[in-house]
Amino acid sequence: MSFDTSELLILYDIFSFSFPAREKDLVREIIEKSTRMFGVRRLALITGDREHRKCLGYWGFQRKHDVWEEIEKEGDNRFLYNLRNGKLGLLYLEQVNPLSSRDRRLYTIFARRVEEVLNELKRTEELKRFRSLMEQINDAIFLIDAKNGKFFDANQTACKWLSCNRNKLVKMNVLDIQSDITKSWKQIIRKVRGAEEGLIVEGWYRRKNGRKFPVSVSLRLTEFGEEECIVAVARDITEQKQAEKQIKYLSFHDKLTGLYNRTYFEEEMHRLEKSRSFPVSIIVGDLDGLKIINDTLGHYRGDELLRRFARIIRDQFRSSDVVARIGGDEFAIILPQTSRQTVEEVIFRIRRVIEENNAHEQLPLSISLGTATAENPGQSLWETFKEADNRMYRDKLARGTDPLRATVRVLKLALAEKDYLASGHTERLKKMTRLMGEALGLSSAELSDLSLLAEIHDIGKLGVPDYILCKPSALSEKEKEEIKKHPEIGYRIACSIPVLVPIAELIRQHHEWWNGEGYPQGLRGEEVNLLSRILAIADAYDAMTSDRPYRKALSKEKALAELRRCEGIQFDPTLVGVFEKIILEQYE
Amino acid sequence: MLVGIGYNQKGDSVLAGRLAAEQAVEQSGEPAITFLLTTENYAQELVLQAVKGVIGKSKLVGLCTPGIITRDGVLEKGVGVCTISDSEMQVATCLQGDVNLSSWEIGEEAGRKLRASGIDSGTVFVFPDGFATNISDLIKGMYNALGPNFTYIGGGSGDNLKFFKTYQFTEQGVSSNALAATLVKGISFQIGIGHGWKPVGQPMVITKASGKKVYEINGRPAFEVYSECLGGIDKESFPCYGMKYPLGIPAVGGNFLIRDPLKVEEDNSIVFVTEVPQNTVVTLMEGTVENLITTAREVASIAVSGLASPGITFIFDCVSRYLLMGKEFEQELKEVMNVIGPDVPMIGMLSFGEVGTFSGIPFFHNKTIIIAVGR
Repeated sequence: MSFDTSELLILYDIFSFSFPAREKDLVREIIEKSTRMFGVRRLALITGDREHRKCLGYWGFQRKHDVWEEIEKEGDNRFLYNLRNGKLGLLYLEQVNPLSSRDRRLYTIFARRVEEVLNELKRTEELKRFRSLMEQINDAIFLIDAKNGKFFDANQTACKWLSCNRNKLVKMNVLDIQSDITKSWKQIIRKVRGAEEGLIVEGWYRRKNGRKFPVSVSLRLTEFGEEECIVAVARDITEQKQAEKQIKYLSFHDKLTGLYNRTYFEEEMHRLEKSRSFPVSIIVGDLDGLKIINDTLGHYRGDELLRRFARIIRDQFRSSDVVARIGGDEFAIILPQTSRQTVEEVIFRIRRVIEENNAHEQLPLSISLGTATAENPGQSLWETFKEADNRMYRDKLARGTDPLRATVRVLKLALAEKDYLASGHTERLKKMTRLMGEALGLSSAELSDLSLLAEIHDIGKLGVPDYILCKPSALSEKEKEEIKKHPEIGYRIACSIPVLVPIAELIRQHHEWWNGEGYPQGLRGEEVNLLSRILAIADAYDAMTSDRPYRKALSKEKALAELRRCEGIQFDPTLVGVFEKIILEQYE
Repeated sequence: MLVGIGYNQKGDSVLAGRLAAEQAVEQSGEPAITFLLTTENYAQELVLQAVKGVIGKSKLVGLCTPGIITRDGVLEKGVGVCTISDSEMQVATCLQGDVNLSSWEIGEEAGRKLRASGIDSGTVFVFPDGFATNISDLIKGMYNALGPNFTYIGGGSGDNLKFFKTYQFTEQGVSSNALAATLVKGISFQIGIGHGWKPVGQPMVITKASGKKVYEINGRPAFEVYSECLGGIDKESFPCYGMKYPLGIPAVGGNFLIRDPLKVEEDNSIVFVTEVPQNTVVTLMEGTVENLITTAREVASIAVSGLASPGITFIFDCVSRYLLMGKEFEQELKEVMNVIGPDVPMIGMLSFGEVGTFSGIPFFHNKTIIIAVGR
């Protein structure tokens, strides 16, 4: 074969270079071809621009750091080629003999080919990185022909949405997608053309399995080669919408009862005021004794009561009615297109339902209700609300004794729930104290206070843990200290209930001793209120003559003897005498 | 430098090894390096131990070969020993196993081991398992670790074409699927390399290949294209044609690396004796016995050219040439011996692929003869 034919074979070989997928394979191929075709004895492939050089591979240098030294040197057997003017890297080739012009020519052709392959490899890597980035995104990304709506490309998420692979997808058109956005595709394209910053639209998309979900699509016009393209990035906004719905719900609903809140109530008041839904009736309701329940039984029971009331009234109204909790214990209901007569019937029905409900519930529900009706459009609903509110207060006043009765009932129930005393204790105390009071010539007001004191003097025990109150064995010192707090707690509870305020101090003093060694204040003698001193004796006597979990009841005689033993110490000696006389008279 | 050559064809492994070694050492004195060639009929370990018992502290390198080349012809059964003594000579050996795992990296490892001897130049004798997956990569890996200051010669070991198991050894022991190599400084070698095959027809491109298997040429099944080049042959006649029409890969200086086709697979791919790189231009090669012999004579002439008093001659001649030429192989040897002369100690082997350089760069060849003359 002639020399020229040999050169042609080399050129043919150079242009048979593969486009390897890995840098390592490229280096191996450069080594194979350059050593075989040119007898290259050392070579190095360096990538990166001047500031970021990296030796991708070398051959014949023994050590990598030799590469950097050697390629800087000059020599007539060395060939250094700047790939893409040095921006892509360097190719260093070295042979035994000085380079001939033929060698230089062939090396240059070879280096240019390496340049192309390396460039392609870098581009492919970049593309892979970009593709991988695209595939990692949870948004569906589409490249669409702006002219006819055909898909050019899409990422995995997009394929998943459309339940097809990329090959199938590129045969599809945007109109094949079931969405309100694609239905108006032409208008959307028009808008995108006019929107320099791109366009964001919201709508829905239905998958092949029928699942429909809300989407937000960001659209932008771009050029891809000579084609005008739309880049559409679609995001499933189900969670966002649900969150918005939740926020909206929370902003218009009361978290505790699930009823509308004051904000929604006010918005509806404004809206209905301008509407044609007249006559509009408004009911205002107030839950009696909520504060007492919260203070005595705890907020959990108070909340339970609120939820119970909310359940009752929610069932009594139409979906068009606005049932709202507008304050701690205040409720209001707007009833559009409801006459005065109808709302009165509603009130009646509510009262009946509450009564029925109370029959099988431990805590009684007591509600004051008021109503008013705006007959004609233009009438102020706020005025109507005010009128209904006033009527509610009048209702509260009209049922004047009811709140007190309700309060007492609640407290009694609460005490019973604690179950720390045998039944009948209160009644016996009331009787004994009344007899003593009469014997001492107390006024009717004092007798009334004494009766109430007998009934609720231990209200503070609601604040003492059950396990201490119900402990069958003797109490520890710490537990005794806890028990001793109950007169003070009772005092605070009574102070919070107007009708109990007059006996609050009496409750606090019912464990004070005549000699000043009682608690909580250590008062002595007549510093202790008379009514409290009376109660202390009756209470001790009844306790001694009743069975306890840890001992049997004492006889009347033994109990009286114990009272006598403690007179002048724990009890007022004069009052013990009076008490003894009454007991002996009454129970003989 | 004193050189000793010994041959023995006794059937007993120990006896053959010992007698051949004794014959060589008698001529050279206590050697610095010993080359041991055996054929596959011996218990290799016993031969090695017997030789080691004679050569003392000498380094040793060797392999099992399809045939040992002597001045009197090819010994298909026998033991050949070459001992060289020289007080100035520096020698290192290396027996690197698992050459099929990752040829390039294994070659680099072997190169690093030889370089650790501190020898900075010289000749590397490379004796890989001829069946190894990628001997070209193995050699390239070695070169990468050793650098350009060395000359490479050698050949692949074989087992009389049984394709079963080959052996490589150094003084450290016997191994299979390995590379035995020695680095020798102190003998200057002049090397001739050639094959006598000529390109015919149009150039083609190996468009799909993996290791030794070529799937596609010019984008079509390899055998279809190969058959067309020969005017249409069938698979049954392939072994005959394959022997006579190898492929040539263009190389530096207008040379060709020969690739010897071995068999056709059912999928029309062709398995070669040695790996063929993908995306490489190839041409069909043809040769006559006359051409091959002429080339062998020229190779010998190059090897001895200008050398006043050669001390040793190594011949690595492809077993494929031996099989192709048949009785005329004797003529090739005769021609070579005539050029080298009667007084130069000579040892050679039929190789399963040859290691030799083009422009100082080592390659793995097929159907080639390499003659190295040292002094």
